[in-house]
Amino acid sequence: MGVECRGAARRRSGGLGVTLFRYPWLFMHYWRLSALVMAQYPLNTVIWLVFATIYHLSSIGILWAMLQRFPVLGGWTFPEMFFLYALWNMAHGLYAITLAKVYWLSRHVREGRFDIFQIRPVGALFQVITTPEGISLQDPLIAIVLFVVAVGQLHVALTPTDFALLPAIVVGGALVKGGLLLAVYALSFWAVRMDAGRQLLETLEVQFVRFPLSIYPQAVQWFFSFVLPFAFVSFVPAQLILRKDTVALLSPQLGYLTPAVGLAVFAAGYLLWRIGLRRYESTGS
Amino acid sequence: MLRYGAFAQAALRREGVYRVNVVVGLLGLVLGLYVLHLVWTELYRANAAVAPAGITLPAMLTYMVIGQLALLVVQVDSTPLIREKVREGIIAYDLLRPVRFPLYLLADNLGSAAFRLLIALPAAVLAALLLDVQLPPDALHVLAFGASLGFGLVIAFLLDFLANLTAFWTLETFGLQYMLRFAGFVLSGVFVPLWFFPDVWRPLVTALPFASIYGTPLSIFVGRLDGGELWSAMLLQVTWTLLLAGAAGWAWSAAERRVVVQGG
Repeated sequence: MGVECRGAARRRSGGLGVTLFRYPWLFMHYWRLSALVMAQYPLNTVIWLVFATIYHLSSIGILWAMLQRFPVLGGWTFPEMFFLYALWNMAHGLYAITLAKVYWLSRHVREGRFDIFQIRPVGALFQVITTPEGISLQDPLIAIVLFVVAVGQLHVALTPTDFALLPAIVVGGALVKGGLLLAVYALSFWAVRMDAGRQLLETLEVQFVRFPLSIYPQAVQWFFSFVLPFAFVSFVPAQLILRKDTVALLSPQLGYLTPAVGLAVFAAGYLLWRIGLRRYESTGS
Repeated sequence: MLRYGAFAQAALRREGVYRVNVVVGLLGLVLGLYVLHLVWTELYRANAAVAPAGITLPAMLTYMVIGQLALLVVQVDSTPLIREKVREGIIAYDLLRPVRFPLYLLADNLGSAAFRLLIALPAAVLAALLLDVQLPPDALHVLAFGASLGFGLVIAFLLDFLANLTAFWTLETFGLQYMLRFAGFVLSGVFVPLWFFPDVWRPLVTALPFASIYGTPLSIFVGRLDGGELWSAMLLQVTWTLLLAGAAGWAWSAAERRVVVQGG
């Protein structure tokens, strides 16, 4: 973290323009360091790559086995559900290398490190999400491979418009996931331990996102559209791309809104974070 | 034998201490049951015409509920301790103790499983009342289910043990162990019964040790395995238990020798 420390004396300075360039640059630096760490332990990296691949294959394998004797689930066939999973995984892959480390916040606060973050010349949130703990650069790689396979086995071909839309959808999905995590952890400024909250959030996501939203009762669909809008990570945009309309509550056209929903959720999480930060008092040790 | 009983008891008590883990785990279980309940109900509702003969929806839901509870009980794991101790170099002390380390791990596993059983049994009763779970056809199937699940627990332990034993050579076992575990999610039939697999795959998948962990006991519970089929499935479980126990014993003595060589 030497780069940031050197500027500590100057305090936060520079306008929006500087910030816009500096943060992506620092992030690239962070990824580069992570890649170097991974290259340092090649066996470990390979094991993790295989491990993550098997994990996704088993998730997809369960869907595959379910839909051997039964052709459809909630109006979705296996190839479509595979695509649904792969699209979710794209957002997850981006999230894994950007915002996922928000969960370090409660550790930093508890162990008193967070105070140091306050006086460094980059935002505290940025320092939390770049906590130097091995990040999994293989997650987005696997996500891309899986997505290509998923697209290949679909019965419909994706149009150029779909491909043009894809980056915005993936970024939107990652922002939804990151924004919700940020909101949960911003609460840790009020109540110190939020790790159970994160486990609950992850459990909800993992349990419900694997299957099309159309199989759930309306109240559950409503919950995942407006309270924890995980529906916008994969289900709604997948409906748009596959031209499916299986939930009365959510028209496929709403898929265009995924980036906006992502920005809104992230903005809400960030707002909560700012409010919490103002309230923050050191654990004092 | 007595001291291994004490180890099992200690593990049982230890599991009870981590209350938040227990609560979050239970919540995950309930949510998972709810989702799978919806999934199977919807699969049967939407595909009534093609629903496989002989497996009714209530039988399928029973299989699913008991399967998730069995997962809760069987998925205990003390064997990563091998990796930790090998990495820290303190495994030698465990070799000096008047306790056979593999048996200590097995006892620890059984103790944890007993704790999970304390949660799973009331949950099973509750599920029977709320979710229309069918009981096994007769007393023989109840007994066979219990014995079969016991074998499943031991087979799962032996696979984890063998995976973590590689720590003596590689120091890293997490990847291998979880690969086996995730492969097991699909191939053991705990999420999707093996009888739904395509005909080409079924004989192979049924013969693998994974099927002996969950597939066999669960099929017995819903009365899908009967008479000769039941006995041959359990015989396969016994065979896998003996084979894997033999492999574990052999691998353990090889690992012991390796420590001696390293330690000089």
